[in-house]
Amino acid sequence: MSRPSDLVQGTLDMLLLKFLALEPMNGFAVSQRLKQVSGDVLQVSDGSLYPALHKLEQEGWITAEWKTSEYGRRAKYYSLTRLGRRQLEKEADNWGRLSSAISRVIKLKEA
Amino acid sequence: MRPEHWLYTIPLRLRSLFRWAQADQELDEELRDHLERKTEEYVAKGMTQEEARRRARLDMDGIEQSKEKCRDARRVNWIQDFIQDLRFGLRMLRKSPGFTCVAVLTLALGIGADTAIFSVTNAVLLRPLPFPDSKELVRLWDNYGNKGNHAVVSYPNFVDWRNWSHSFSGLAAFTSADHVLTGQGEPIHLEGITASASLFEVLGIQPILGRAFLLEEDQPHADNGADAIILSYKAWNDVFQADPKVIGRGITLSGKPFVVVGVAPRGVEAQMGYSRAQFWTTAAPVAEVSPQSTKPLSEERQVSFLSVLGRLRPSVTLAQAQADMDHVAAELVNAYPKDDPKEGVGIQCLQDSMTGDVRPLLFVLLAAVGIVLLIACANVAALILTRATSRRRELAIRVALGAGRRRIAVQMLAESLLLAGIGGALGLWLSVIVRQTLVRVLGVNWLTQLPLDVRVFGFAVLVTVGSAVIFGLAPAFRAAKTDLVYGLKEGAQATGESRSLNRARKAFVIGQVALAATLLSSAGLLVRSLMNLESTDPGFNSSHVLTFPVSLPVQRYPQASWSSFFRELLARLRAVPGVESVSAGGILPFEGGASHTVLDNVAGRPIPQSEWRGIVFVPVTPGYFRTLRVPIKAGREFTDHDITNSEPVVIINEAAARQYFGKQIPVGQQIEPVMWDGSGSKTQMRTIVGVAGDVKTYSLVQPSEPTVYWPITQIPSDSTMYVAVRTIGNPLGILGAVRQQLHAMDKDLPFYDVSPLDYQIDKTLTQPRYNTLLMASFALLALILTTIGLYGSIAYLVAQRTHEIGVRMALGARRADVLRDVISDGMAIGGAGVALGLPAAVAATRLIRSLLYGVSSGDPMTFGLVVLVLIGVACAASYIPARRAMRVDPIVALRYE
Repeated sequence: MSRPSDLVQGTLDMLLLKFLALEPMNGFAVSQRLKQVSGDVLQVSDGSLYPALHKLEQEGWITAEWKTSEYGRRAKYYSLTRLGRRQLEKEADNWGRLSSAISRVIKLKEA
Repeated sequence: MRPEHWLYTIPLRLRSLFRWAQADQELDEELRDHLERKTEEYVAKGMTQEEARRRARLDMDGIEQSKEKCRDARRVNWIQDFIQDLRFGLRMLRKSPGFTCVAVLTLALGIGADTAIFSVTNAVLLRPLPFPDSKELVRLWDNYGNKGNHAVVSYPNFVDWRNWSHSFSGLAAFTSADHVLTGQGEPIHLEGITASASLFEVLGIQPILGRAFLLEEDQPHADNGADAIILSYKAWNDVFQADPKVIGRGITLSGKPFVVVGVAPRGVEAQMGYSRAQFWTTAAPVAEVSPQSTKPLSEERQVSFLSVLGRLRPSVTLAQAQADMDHVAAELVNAYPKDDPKEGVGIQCLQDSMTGDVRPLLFVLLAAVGIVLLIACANVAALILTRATSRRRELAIRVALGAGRRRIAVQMLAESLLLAGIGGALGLWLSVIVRQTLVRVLGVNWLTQLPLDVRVFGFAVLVTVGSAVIFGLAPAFRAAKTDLVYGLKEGAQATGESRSLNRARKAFVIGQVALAATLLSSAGLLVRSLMNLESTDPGFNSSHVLTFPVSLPVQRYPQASWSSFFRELLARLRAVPGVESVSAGGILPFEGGASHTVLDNVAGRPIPQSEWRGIVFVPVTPGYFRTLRVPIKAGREFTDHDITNSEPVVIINEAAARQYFGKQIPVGQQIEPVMWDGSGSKTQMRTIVGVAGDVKTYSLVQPSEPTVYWPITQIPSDSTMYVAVRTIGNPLGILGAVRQQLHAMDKDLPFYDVSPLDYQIDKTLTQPRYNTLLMASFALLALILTTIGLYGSIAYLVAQRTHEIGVRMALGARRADVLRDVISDGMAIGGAGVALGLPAAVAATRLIRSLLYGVSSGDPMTFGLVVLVLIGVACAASYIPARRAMRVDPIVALRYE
């Protein structure tokens, strides 16, 4: 069982923001998408997903709305706010810097 | 954080706070929806329904745990924590009702007194007078004789001011105008105001019924028609039963017809300084003839009798208006050099002129109650510290269970805030109860409204929160430093921690003693002032004297008849059984307003106008000094032989003798008091036949003014005389007989304002007595609170040292040593407090100098007494704990460990 703490800290937030930036979706769809896209590498349990979503909502980065889904069910749809978009940009930036720095370190050849 | 952030988050937080049930239900729905979909997905993959549901649940890591995590993400931590703290605090306070009661009552008293004094201060000093744009209203007066006194203005000067000045949108003049209501049995004396027609316009108020005066009503009626009269709200209610059809009614006052044209709003008369006035008239005063001259008052530049009120133009400042009036005054001196030896014009905001007397008192009282509150806070802080020690285990357990230190400090503060909040609410309620009484006690009866406005409420809240911080901060810091090891150890005592706790406790008590010292010395000085005041010799004997004014209507009594009327009246009164002697004068001490003149010539030396100084003149009948028991220091009193044709005589008082003759005895010298009649024909050299002792005229505080007395037989100068009847028994016992004699002479003369002379003196002492009483009660409260604080702390220190004392006694210390040790501890605290408080007290008492009489602000006797009292209190407060310490049984104390 993989916990978000296994991910680089804060990465889950960024991933969720990214997904919701593409289109508004409900929690179930987010979990599906996570699995699809990362090819089971990033395993996020459903038990961690919802608290993370709620935290993002409290931060004001995403906002939730009850809508009727394609199956005719009422579901809670999350979408990105302007604040969230800004946050995503910031985190993506940080991530880019961090990952390129790390890859540079990893690629160092032994002298 | 950015505002945009709040835009999203605040509604969410509020929702979690107030609609948590709905939020929780939605969470439930959301997760159920997820589970259903997941189950469907697994079923589609070929699992059985049962298996699929199990897998879905497993993926969720336990539904309840996930829910709890979601709730955690949503929690509005600090608010919910704080509410939790308050709930917990309430439970703790309920668990120790004794502590809670003492703390809450102490705070309620402190905050209540503070708020009550502030609500009066607010109404008197901070709120504008109830007139539109009242900041524009000013009082104006001639700086004549005594500077700073609210002197008055003559009618022609007032007219010139109005015509020549540019700073005012309007000027109004007014003076008191008493009338007699006759024709309905006993004649009734009514007080009123006569004013220029512009008065209501300048004040900016409209009558609640009818109309204000018309400008043409300023001129007296030529044809003896009815003059306009405006009733006060009170008179309209009391005399006319609030009859809405009162407008147009005719009434007869002092034999003159008036017609009611309006009813004034409530309380206007009090705000003008005439709280007993029942009506306003106009035009009347200017037509009257001055008693000292043949000219009507409207032409008499030397007779000042009008109070003047002005409204500044909107953009004009007080300084500009002053400059403008300086210019006008200079022009007046140029135009009427003979008439105008004036020293310029004074100008002051109406509000300042109304509140000038009470302002320093209010600030002193506000400071005093502030000190009381501080002392109360120190007591509550000491109480909480004591409790904190007994709660050490509780706090240590909470820290051990993972409570953050900040969290603990906040929780202690929440408890303090709760205490202060309850105390504050109670205090606000107390202040509402006492503030009406306070208005009467402070003598600001002109206040018509005492609002509980935002400012008062805000002040109460501020004081409440402020005191919570003051008394709660130290205990909160202490609690935050809770030491786990010592806290959990059974019976851990006398460690470094409690030593610093004791330091804090001692600091509080020393501060209390210091604050009490400032308050006690201020109150002590006020008490000494009052004692001085009460024992001041007024210069006459006021007991067994009945006084009343007799005002002869000039229409029926020509000037020539005044002296014979009074001679007959006095003769009749002298014959009443129980009467010892009788006299009358233009004023009596503490009754009637003094009139001033100047001396033109003293002992043959002409006095130039530039050296003229006002001198009070009092026309009297023979026996005036004997009846009042004013000593004649040299020469003789007036007799029945001082008549129109005999030598013109005067008697001067010692102040006048000092001023004009120095150490020389002036009997036999001649002076020439100016009689204002324009032509100067009545000015006459008069021989001084006696020197009378100085008499206090308006109040016991002010020094006696130079005064010249003359017999009314020689210069009948006033139609109103005050009659003094010295009786053998109770002066009120002859009331009926006196009334009978007065009405036997003229049944239309009202018998009013009758009172024993000592009541009049007593009346001037009421305010100082109340002021002193207020300060003394605050000081007493401070002393009591400080004593409690001292006692509590020393008792606590002794309790802590029980073990140590036991050991010392086991080692052979004598009981007396223990007793002395504890008491000297208490004295050390008291001494430190006094040492700290004395310089503060010296500084503080300087601020109340204007309220003192006959005692300097640094009076060593008062300060010595305060030091003695405080040291004595410290000694007494440590005696009981010391006795307890003395009785410590070494065996018990040692076994306890």
